Amino acid sequence: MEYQRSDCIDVTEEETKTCITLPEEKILVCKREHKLIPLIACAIILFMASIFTVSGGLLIFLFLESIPLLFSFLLLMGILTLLAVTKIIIDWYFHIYAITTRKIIEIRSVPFFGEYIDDLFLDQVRTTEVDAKIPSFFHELLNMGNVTVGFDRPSHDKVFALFNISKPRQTAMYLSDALEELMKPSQVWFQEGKPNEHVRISEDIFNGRVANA
Amino acid sequence: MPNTNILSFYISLFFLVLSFMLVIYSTLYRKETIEIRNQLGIALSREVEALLTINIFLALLFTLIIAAVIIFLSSLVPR
Repeated sequence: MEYQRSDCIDVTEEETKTCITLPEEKILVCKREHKLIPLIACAIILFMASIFTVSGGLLIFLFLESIPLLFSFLLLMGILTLLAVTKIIIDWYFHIYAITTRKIIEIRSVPFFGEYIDDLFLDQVRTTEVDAKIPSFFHELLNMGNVTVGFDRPSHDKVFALFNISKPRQTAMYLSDALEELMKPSQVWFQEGKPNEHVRISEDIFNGRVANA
Repeated sequence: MPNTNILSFYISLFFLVLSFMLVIYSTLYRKETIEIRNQLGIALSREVEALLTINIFLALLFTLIIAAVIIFLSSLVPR
């Protein structure tokens, strides 16, 4: 499967600068959740609001018989629905996954309700696997899924997951290649063509004599 | 009929208080969102900024309309 770097960048260049803390740092992946996620939430809100508005409006009209009051109720429901839709959009907008050449960071900021920033420095861990998971037919249809990055650090017992992002396969493949390239120069397990010195050392010290020498 | 009008008047008053609180909420929400934008450095798109501003204006407009409805209802309440 072919992939391009643009498949892995949802957020504009202007916004991705915020994730860079060093001059030589480069953004590998920067994504939000799929656009359909807030759309579905908005559709549910609109559906619920319309049911509540119709039932409340009917009650007001039948029992109080007041058109002005019904009008006020409709306006109030309009404000409430608009604010709920705005909240969904803002929550989606401030939820960003970014992977740079130095770190992995998840920013989730909900105005008035809290903030969550989870970052992980790549020089402190070894990436062991990058998986793409498309859980259902619906996700497959929309080219949406999860990408998980696994680490071997004992204290970090969880995987870093990018949930419901667009183009998960392309992102996982690009990320896998980029992380492998990134870890090659710095990590001993990527050095190729060297003799297996660890085995020789263990053989050397076994019973105080050189075994199989 | 007068009793219904009085009840409608008080319910409208309740709606007015609620919508006024929503105006305050939407104003503070916009302020908080802009603060987060400044803290995190995540640029807000024009559409999102426009949405936040429209929220405040619409909430204010609806509140004013509800206030006008209350004035209208109060004229129906017998003195």
